[in-house]
Amino acid sequence: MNPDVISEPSRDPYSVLGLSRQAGDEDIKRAYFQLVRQFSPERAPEKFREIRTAYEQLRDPENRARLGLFLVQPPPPLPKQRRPSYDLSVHVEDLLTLAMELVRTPMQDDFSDIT
Amino acid sequence: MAKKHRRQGAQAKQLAQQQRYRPAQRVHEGIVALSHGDTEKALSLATSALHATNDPATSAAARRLALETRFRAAAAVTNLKTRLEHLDAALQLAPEESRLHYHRALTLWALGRIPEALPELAGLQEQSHERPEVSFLYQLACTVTGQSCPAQALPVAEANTMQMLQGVFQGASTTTLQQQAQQVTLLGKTPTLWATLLSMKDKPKSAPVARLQALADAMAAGSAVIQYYLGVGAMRKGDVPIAQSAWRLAAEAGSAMPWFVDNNRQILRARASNLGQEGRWHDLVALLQTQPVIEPPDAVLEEMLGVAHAHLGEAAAQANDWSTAAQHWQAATTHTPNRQLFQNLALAREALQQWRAAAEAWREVLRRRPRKPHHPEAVTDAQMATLWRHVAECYERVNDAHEMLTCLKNAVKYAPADLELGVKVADISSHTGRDDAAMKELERLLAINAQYVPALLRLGTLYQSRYDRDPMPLWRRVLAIEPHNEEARQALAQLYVEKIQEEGPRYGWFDRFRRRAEKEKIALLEEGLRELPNHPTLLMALGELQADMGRAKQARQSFTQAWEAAPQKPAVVVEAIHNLLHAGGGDIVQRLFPTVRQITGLPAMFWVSVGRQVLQCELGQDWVDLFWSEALALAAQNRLGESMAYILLQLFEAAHSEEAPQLAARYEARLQTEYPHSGAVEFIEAYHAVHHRHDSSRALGLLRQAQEVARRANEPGIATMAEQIAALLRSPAPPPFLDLLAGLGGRGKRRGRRRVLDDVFAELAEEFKEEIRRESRRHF
Repeated sequence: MNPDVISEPSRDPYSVLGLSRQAGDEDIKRAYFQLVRQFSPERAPEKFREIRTAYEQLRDPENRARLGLFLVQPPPPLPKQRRPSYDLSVHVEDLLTLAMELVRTPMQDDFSDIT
Repeated sequence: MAKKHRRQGAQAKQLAQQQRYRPAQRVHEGIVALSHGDTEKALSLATSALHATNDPATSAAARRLALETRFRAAAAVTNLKTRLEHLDAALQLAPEESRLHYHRALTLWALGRIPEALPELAGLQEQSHERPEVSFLYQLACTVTGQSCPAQALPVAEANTMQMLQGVFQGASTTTLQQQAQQVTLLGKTPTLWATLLSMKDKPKSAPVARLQALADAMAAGSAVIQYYLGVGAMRKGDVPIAQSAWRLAAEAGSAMPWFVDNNRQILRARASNLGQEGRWHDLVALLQTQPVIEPPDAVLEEMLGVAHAHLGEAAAQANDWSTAAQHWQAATTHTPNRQLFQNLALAREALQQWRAAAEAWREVLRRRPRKPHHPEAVTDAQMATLWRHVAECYERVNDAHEMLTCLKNAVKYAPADLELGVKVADISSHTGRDDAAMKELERLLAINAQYVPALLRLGTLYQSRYDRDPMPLWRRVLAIEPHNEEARQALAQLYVEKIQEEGPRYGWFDRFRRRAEKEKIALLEEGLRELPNHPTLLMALGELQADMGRAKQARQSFTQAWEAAPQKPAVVVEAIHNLLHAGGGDIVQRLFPTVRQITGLPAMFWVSVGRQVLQCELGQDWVDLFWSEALALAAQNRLGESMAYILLQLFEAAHSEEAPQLAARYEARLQTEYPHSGAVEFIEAYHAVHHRHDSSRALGLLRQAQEVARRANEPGIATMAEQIAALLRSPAPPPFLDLLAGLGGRGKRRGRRRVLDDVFAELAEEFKEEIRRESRRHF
């Protein structure tokens, strides 16, 4: 497995720091310091290491951009929808088609026996 | 008896196989397939039978089958355009068949193409006794298209319906028509059918859903029109689920009118959008995938499907289910191919180690990157290079050097100053036989950084194989930067050695000039030693030259110096020992012998080789005993997979091939006594079978046994030996091209201009024969 690939969400540095993919330098720094106060190295060493790793990966803009090439991307949004406008009138052509439906021989009745 | 039965069985099988592919058999199988509803298989068999047969009866049967298959396939599809295609194909086979024209007309009618249906109906008029409804349809089509046609008497219901529809078509008051509809007999079993529809036409808010449902239920065959207007009625009441269900049935019944298609799309979009907003992605996919195919595909619905699959892929990836994630992302890319989805797909493929598929997905990411430099998602040159390198790594995993090279070259375009990348390009170019391209790349890198050692080393290696390039300056450049670079030192030393091995002209009776040439060689080696002090390769070459010149003492000194310069290098030590023994330096060997034991990780086979060389050169049995005792001492430690049995077998084989039968017998006896179940005994028997009885077949059998026994006894070395010898015995004999060479060389003929060619071929032939002899001795 390519070490550049980060698949598990726990290793996604953005998820670790609780940030969106659009986060900038200031957001990253702020998030890091807040989390580090909460999960200090003495109280939660594993979590602290995870936070620190995530911060190191994201703090440099070039590194951050490079990392983005190998992160699972979030799904795109649903397309915007206009309010539907239905044509609920009765069309003459349908009446003609109905007449055809009422008189026609179904195709199944016209199957030949080829045995 | 059994053999006879087996033969008969094989013949019967062959006959059945032949029969199977006879056209008549194919027609029969096609009929069976059609009776089971497999129109695809039936059509394939019918078509192949039609093309394969010359028999009129079989051809006719195949044609009938193909025709009927097409017709039934047309009946099975709900998509009217596809139905039309099937009917048209059937008409190619039977242009006069009336049922095909009839249903073609109806299909065109349902598609709203009544003017095209008109000629078909006109043609069917003559056969209207078979289909009485044709007259009605024909007259109605004429009315709709404004064509005049002879009026024919119609049954009452049809006549009344015709009149009513003509009124609608001409824009008569629907209220009046509605009243009339309730008073006369019209087509359709239910009296309220036409009145209901006319009422809906007259009053835009009219929504007689219950009545329409009852009408739909009463229709024996499904009516696309009734189902559609049931949906219209439901929508007028705001009942979306009923409308959706009814319109789905209308689609399945083949409705293709533009207003229906548009309404259906809108309702599906609204429903899908609601599901998406609720996060019900599975339901969204199920909703859209179970709908009849919409032609042309709706871009918005496609996008929604893509988004749904993207979400499902993300969920699977979070649960580490990369297989499901890949499936969803693959599906997503078919609906909404965008860069991000391909990136996810590539990552999933990597997680599944599907490297080639991953590489293809990454290439899609690259293809779809934004091109405008100020785009928020623009990719920098450095990122492009990174991505191309990554793709190359994926191809590397599947050993596709060609694609790997293409990707690395693309990476270089974006990072031309990346020296490491350039070296990789050169390596792959060289590996794929493109030495010129490799050299060009390395020279380009050195133009960027003249001191880049990896490029210098590689270029030097490439120059080695070229007559028009001198690698020496390159090795010197490396040593100027890294004086202890082992590769450069060795290569440079080797070049000096090659220089002294270059053949000079033969002087014949000018022998004294030959001695001066040797002095020049020594001077050359001494020059090399000044440049590379104490290099064992140069010292060894010097010693050999001195030995050739009869200067044994000097030779011994040189060999000793070589040994002492690299006491930890087995290759140097083995050569030094051999040369010293030849030069009468046995005492030196004795003195330096303990240093060899200090070489870390020295295999027992080292001593086997040393002893073998001594045996071959007849340098003394005592030495052989000494060296081979060392081999056995190391084998007793059972390191590096070299068991005692394995080494004893190697010693047996070495002794035998060096024509020392008594010595060989000694080891053979030890193996039989001490290691009878190691596989070695069988191996030796095979050996004797080949050498003494020339029985390769028996030998192969014994070697097979040897492998089995060795594997059971956990003797992988012996098993491998047996396997290799067996492969050799099975391989074909070398071609008799030595005679061909001799013939080309004109040997025995008048000499003159061909003398050099003669000599070259003679040397080649001799070398080849010697090589064959050596190989045979070595292996068996």
